[in-house]
Amino acid sequence: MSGMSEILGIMGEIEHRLRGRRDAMQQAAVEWRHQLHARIEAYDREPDDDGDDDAVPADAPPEYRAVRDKIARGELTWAEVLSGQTDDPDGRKVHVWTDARMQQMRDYLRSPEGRRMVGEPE
Amino acid sequence: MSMQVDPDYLRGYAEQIEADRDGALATLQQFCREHCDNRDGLDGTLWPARAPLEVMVEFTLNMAAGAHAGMSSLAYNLRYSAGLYDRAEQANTATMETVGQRWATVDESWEAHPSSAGGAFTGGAQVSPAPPAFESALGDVEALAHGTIGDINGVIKALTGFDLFSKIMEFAVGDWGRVRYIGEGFGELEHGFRAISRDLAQGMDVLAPHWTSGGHHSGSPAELFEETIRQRWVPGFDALAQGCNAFQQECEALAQSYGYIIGSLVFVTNFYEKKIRRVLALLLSATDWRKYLGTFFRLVKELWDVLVGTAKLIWEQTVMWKEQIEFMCTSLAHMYKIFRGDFEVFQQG
Repeated sequence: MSGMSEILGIMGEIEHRLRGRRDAMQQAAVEWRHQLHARIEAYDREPDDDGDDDAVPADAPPEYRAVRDKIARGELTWAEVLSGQTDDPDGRKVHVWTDARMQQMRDYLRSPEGRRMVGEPE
Repeated sequence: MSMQVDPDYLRGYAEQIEADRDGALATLQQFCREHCDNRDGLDGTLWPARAPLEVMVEFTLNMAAGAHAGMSSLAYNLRYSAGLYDRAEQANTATMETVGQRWATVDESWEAHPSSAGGAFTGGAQVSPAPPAFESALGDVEALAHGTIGDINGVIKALTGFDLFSKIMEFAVGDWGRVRYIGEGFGELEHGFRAISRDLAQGMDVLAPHWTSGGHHSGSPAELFEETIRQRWVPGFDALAQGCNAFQQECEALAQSYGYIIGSLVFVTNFYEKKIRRVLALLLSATDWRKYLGTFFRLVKELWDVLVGTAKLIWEQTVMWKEQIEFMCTSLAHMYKIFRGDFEVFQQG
């Protein structure tokens, strides 16, 4: 037996097996996506951290409220303030304060209490 | 034994085969080198795809080179056979002259004879593969890295040590648009090889009535030649076309899978990014920031885990794909060995 029919038969077999593997790949991707969505849904079921956005930290500089308002109006972003990459004079002053606060947070995360909080060995 | 042969038809078909070789086949070889052998952008998680793509291109080019050589041999043998028939006829004519007939001289007779096959054969398969349009598929990933995470990555990294931007950029060096591009290239090759197959079969249809000798299963040269074309060359090109088609589907499947995964990643990253920004704002507005720091760290860590998991999944899928292509090439090579003819006609040398 030879010729086209046999070749096409073998090619069909190859395609069949390839299709099976393609389905397996697709299934793995779909399962992975379901896992992600399940994680997100679980997150959404948790109560929000109800922080007070209008609060002004006790140690914040006087320019803090103005900066917060500019952020609310879209004139500034926290990322710009945090990085110090802004020409806004209020933003630059608050940046000095956020820098210090970030340092406090880093120090805390390195402390035994902070490491315990994030589940790292002390 | 009954015999009917018009040597001009043998020459006509030889010309058609040469036209297929120098036109369609040469065009496909060049196309394959230009478009299917281009693996730019297949880095990062798509790195494992490089080897099978290279193997498939090499396999196809080897087959095409073998076909090129084999078609030269076919055409040469047809012309040689036509010449033998001519010489036999000339010899017979000369013999008859010796019995007293006053025919025109043999040479004059043959030179004046116009080709009886003029216009009966094609000028070869018409093949003009369209270059695939390359579209980078990295837009979403780059937007994710630069737009979604870019401006807060420095803060996140400084606080938690996780460099989300760099992790996302790992996906930006593996452009699955290139996989799709190569796949489309193989799709064009498929059409081209099928066109050659059809052209060879049609040419044989034209030649067959003008070259018969003996009956079925007589082992006559005409029968052997026809069998070679119909049972080996035509199925050989069809199988090559089908291999290209299967490979195109594999490329498309990988590109789709990659796109699906990245699409999910974009969705999930956007979700976490909003949460992270929200908690970051709380960290900067609360007097007691400690109560939000744990949440912030947890969110970043989870996003990091998602990115690591995604990279792992894509790597695994690409490796799985690599194994599929290896399986396909092995199967094609196996067929090559098992069946005399079929693929053997493409063997070089």
